[in-house]
Amino acid sequence: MIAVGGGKGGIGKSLLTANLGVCFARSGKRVVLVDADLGGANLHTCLGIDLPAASLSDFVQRRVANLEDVVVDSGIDGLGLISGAQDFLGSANIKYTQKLRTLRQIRRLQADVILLDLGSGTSFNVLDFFLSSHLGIVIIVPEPTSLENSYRFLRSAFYRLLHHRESARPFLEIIEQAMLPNNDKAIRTPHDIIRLVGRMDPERGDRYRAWLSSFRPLLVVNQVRSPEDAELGPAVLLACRKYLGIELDLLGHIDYGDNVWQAVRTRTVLMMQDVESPVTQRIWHVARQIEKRMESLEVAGRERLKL
Amino acid sequence: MKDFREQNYYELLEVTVHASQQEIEDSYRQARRAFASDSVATYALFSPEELVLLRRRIEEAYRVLTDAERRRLYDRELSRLDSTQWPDGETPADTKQQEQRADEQRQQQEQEPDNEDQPRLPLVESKPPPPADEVAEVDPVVTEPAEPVESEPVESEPVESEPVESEPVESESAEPESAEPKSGEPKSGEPETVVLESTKPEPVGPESVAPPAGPALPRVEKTESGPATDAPSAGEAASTRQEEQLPPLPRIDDDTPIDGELLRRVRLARGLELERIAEITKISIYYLRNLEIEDFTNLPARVYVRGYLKQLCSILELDASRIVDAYLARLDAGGGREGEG
Repeated sequence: MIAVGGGKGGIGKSLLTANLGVCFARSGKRVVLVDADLGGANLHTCLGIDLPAASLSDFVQRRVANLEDVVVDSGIDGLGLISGAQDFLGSANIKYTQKLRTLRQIRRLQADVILLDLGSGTSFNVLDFFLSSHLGIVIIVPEPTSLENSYRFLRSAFYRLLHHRESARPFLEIIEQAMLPNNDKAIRTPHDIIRLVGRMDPERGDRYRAWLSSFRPLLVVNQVRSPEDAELGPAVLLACRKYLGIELDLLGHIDYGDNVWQAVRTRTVLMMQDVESPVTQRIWHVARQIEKRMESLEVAGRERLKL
Repeated sequence: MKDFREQNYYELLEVTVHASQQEIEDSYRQARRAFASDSVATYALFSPEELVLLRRRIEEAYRVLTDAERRRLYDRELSRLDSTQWPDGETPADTKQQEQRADEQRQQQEQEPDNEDQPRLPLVESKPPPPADEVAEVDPVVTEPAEPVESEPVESEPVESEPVESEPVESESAEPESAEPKSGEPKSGEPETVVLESTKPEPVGPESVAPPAGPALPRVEKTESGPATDAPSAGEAASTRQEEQLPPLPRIDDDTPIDGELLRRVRLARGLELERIAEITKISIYYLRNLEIEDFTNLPARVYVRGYLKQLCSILELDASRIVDAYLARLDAGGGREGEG
């Protein structure tokens, strides 16, 4: 189960999810794409198909009991799709119990790879889907707004993780304080929380520190147009490590290419075209990197949030 | 991973203590680019002041580590510090010296078999003046002053917190910090300061002040391990049985006092847990509760309270124009039942 997120909209989450899905399917895996962008679903468009009749809404609204029943054929061998919720009414705020039920059933889907296309923003739903996945991919594009959102996303995700794992009141309050942008305890980074908590309870501080170092989201730099843009990945890794203490794992970058949006317009999937282009090569590279991470997961196992 | 303010020069440049000149050069150049003032990577992460500080420290690190003589002095200074400062347990000091120090530690621990109850070793803060020109350069790390921070000593609150034993202990995920030199140590979150060589009055760099020096605080959740009466997670279970029977919706007339109690009663009538509202609105449950119990001293600035109230009204299906100002007036009047639950 792999989540693709990144805080900001319009950075290519859905497109990359769709194309990575095609990569995995073409290497013989059973893949299900889940459009978890509640309220802004358009993964079907990235796959070049019409809005399927069955969607995640049917499951969330309990019109369908089994999540398997809303998996539709994407038209590509080995690739199934769970289309996103199309309700206008507050589907971005599904109930907590619904979220648990959905996550539980996503995990039970019959597939080798499940790719979740997350919505933008840092709502608890988005974060929880991200944290519950075995691998979480954060996509950035070389723009200040994207980085601003990504850092916020990463920070929020880690705080949310702490919040799930913590159960004692005074510490929960510190974490909740940290989630407020201008909290009066001046908590701005995970370091600040760890320091504050460590003063009250050193063992707990150590535990938090261990959680921080095992929190390793993957990073993809998308829409790279220049060699300078391509250097952004390592720089972000460095900045993130120094400031937030979060160690990212860089999967690679993907060039900006006109063939990407052209493919969407002609309602085809880029990775299904057999033309080799810089973009397709890059996507294949990222897919292989992910496969490597998945293999090491199978060997080592990996703790993730169990909701 | 440490805050960059607490990192030594090697950690700042992310090189090993054995790094060659070339590795230091490369690392420095990369850091310089990443933390340049026009770098996109740092946007919205570091404040301008932090960036200036970080750049200054990186420059310092580079200047010292690329100067053989200054690096040697710095290494010597570092090696006097706690060897656990080194992520891989190695120090630039030669191994003989290390073993010697390990011996000293062991001795020291034998002398103090139970330092649990003893007052912390005083930290040696005053160092004998080294040659004046050394001081400026070798001064290893800008650490935070070890002032006891205001962290309120967690008043033993009635048992809201779950007993700590029930927590998932993820011990296997703990960072494999190599603990070669202190293998004989009892594993009980021993304060790092013990490792300092207090037996011989060696000059100790300011980095030794880094471990939190505040008094050890009582561990609340260990002493209070009653049944979890109101665990937050219970809210979820409750939300499924909320349809069964809800209290009636309170009537709001012109003379109904608009107060926290009213908010609470409406919420209960709507069958909503505080947790649920916190989840939807992203308002801290702490503040939501304080709104209800009118603990006005523990609410954020008025402008935020106004926003909270508006959100709350929309969820509780209350007329915001009627509630928000009336509640704020109450807040301005300074009423409220401080701290009462």
